Amino acid sequence: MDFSKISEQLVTTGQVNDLLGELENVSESIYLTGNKFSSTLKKIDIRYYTTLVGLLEKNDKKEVLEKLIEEIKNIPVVNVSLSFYPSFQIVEKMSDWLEESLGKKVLISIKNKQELFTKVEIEYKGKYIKC
Amino acid sequence: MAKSFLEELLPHQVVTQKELLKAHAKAQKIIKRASKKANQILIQSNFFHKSLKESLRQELKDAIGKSVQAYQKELEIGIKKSLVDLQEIIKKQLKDNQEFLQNKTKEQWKRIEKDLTDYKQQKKLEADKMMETEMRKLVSETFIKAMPESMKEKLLFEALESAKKDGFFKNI
Repeated sequence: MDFSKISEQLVTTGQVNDLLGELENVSESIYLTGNKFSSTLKKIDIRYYTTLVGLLEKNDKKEVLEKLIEEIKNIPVVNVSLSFYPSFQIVEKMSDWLEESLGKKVLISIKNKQELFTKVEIEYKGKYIKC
Repeated sequence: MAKSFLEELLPHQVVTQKELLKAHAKAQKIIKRASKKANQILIQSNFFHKSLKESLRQELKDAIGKSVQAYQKELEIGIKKSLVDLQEIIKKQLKDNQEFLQNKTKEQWKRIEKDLTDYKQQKKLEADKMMETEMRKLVSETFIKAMPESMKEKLLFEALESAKKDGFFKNI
C-alpha cells in the first residue's frame, strides 16, 4: 500500500496529530451500521481524503487504517525552536529542505522561545545544535 | 683582879677559851656580816629577778607588739600586693575578653559582610539576568514583530545551512 501521497502532505506534528485523531475516529466507525462510517470518513481533511478513499475501496479498511496510522507515527520529527512563528509557506520550504538534506521525510515541530532572539535551536534524534 | 680557880688550874685553857670566845665572836661577826650580805644579795637578787621579769615582760610585750606591727605591715603589703595582682589579673582577663570579643565581632562582621556582598552580587546577577531576559524579550518582540517574512526565512535557512555545514544532519 502506497501512503506517500498522504505523507507528503504532512509537514508539521500538529497536522499529524489532527490526522491521527481523524483516522482513529474512522477506525472506530468501520463496523458501525448505516452511513456512520462514510459520514465519519468525510470529516477527513480534503488533502488526504481522495487518496484514503481510494485505498479503502481497494483494500481491507481496518488494515489500511492500521498501516497508515503506523506509518505516520513512524515519521521522524525535527524539533525547531525559534523566537517567532514562521508562516506555513516557510515551514513547507523548511520541510522540503530537510527532506532533501536528510534523504527522508520528516515532520517539523515548531516551538516558540522568545529569548533565542535571532538564534535557532534544532533537535533531531537526540542531537542538538544552536545556530 | 683576882684569878679564878679555873684560871689558876688551867691557865692555858683559859687562854684558849678566850681565844675561842674571841674567835667565836669574830665568827659571829663574819656570819652576821655574811648573812647580811647574803640578805642583801637575796634582796638584790629578788629585785633583780623582779626587774628582769618586768624587763622580760616588757621586752616580750615590745617584741609581740613589733611582731604584730610587722605582721600587720606584712599583711597590708600582702593584701595590697594581692589586690594589685588581682587588679592586674582582672585587667588582663578583661583585656583578653575584650580582644576575644573584638575578634569574634570582627569575624562575625566579616562573615556578615561577605554574606551580604554575596547576596548582593547574587541578587545583582539575578536582576541583571532578568533584565537581560526582559530586554531580549522586549527587543525580540519588537524586532521580530517588525521583521519581514523574507528576513525570517533568511534567518531560518541560514541556521539550517550552518547546522548542515557543521555536519548536524550527517550519520543520523
